[in-house]
Amino acid sequence: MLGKNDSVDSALDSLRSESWTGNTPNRAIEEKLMTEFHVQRTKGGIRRYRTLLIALAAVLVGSVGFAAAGGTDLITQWVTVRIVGTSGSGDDMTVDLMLTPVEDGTASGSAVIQSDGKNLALSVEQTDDGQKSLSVSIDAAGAEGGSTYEVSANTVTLTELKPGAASKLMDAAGRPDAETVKVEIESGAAVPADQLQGRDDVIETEWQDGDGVWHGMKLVPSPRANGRMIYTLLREAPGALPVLGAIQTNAAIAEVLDAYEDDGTLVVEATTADGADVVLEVTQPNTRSPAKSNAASRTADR
Amino acid sequence: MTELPISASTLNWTCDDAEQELVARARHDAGAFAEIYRRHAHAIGGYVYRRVGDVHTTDDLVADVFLAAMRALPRYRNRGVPLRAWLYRIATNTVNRWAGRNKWRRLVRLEGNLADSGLDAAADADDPSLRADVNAARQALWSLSMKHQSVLALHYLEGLPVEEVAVVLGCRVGTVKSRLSRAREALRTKLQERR
Repeated sequence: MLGKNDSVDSALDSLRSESWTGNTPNRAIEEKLMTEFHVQRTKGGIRRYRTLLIALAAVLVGSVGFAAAGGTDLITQWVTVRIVGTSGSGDDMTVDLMLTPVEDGTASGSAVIQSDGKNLALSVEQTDDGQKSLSVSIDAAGAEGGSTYEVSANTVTLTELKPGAASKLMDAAGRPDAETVKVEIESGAAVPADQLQGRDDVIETEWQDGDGVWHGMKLVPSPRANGRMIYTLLREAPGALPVLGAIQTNAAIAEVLDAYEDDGTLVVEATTADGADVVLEVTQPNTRSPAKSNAASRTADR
Repeated sequence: MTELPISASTLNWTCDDAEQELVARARHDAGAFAEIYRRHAHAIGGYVYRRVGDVHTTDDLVADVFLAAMRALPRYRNRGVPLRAWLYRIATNTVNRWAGRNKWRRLVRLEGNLADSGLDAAADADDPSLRADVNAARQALWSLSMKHQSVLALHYLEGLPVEEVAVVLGCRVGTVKSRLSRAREALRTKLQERR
């Protein structure tokens, strides 16, 4: 600390002398928080359910690889299932989610996503005749029950996913609904053979950008011979699943505690399998290729 | 990887069970979250105000801080670090993002009509020389990098010890000390340039 007459200390003293005289607690802010609280808790429950379901089934897969050794499904390709259109009540909805595979090569799973106050439940099932059926259940907020619509996606098979495949919304009797829903199944890049991972190895989490918007994110591990792990960070998005970057750790990540953007840096706080806290930073979050990312990591024992 | 020598036991802050119980309840109970807001609004508001120097902007940013905290609360983990540190971190990020977006507007505003700057809550608003000192200091502070602004504000304006600043900023104590030193020199240079 410098002397009393130091210009820096004088400047800091003058700033420190400013006392906050605002209304605290501010009633308007408190009311805004309470309103948002109820919205967030509703979304949070849905988000957790969605994360759980997707984590159970993971993301996948053009052709489901069934590893001979160990009998474990491996992620061979990233695809996105997306529904764009209007619900039966005429409200706009856009649903982005991942197709889910099962071991025998059929797809089955569900996700719950909130869109414009609606709860949307979607399941993907393989029918007996080998065709795939997408079911969308739309529960209007405040309404009892809900409407269930069958979305036919017969042009798409599990092993021949085609980008941009579309289908019409069908009513319960199998008749095309006047309001069509477009189903898009977009193929992403195939996963290189040396980076194949089981679905359980993929870590699902969320990341908050500089504008406070939450994005889905996946950490895909690639074990290395020297024991270090390299995780490729993928951002959930329709289609391509952009690569955010790559990070290295000494031990496998067990859980992501928080992820956020700080002054252009994507920060991931996590715990490793051996219980240590790690803070991982990707300094160029928009890098398309992990090989080109300028990633750094450090461990925080806090 | 670099080990951070910071643990809860090295901090003076206490992380009592009552606070953690409040955090746990606040994940599901709006009233509990309101209690968190009421407990920390003044400290966070003061910090934000001393960073931005504008009453109305402070109100907006404080709301943003607690909204962000609300969204992130389900992922908040008790690692022995008090909630206040976590809120300071969110506030720092919120203010830095705002500052980045409004850098030139802020500087122009201070260069121009000070009466419109919203600084009427300054400690001695009736003293023109004090007001000028505050504004000169703030202008110099704003011209620094966000990292330097953050570390100076947390340590010198909020009075947090370097160990606690390290927790808030998520870096090592040594990093905080070196950053403080560089920030002071940078601030000194800016103050001299403005004379």
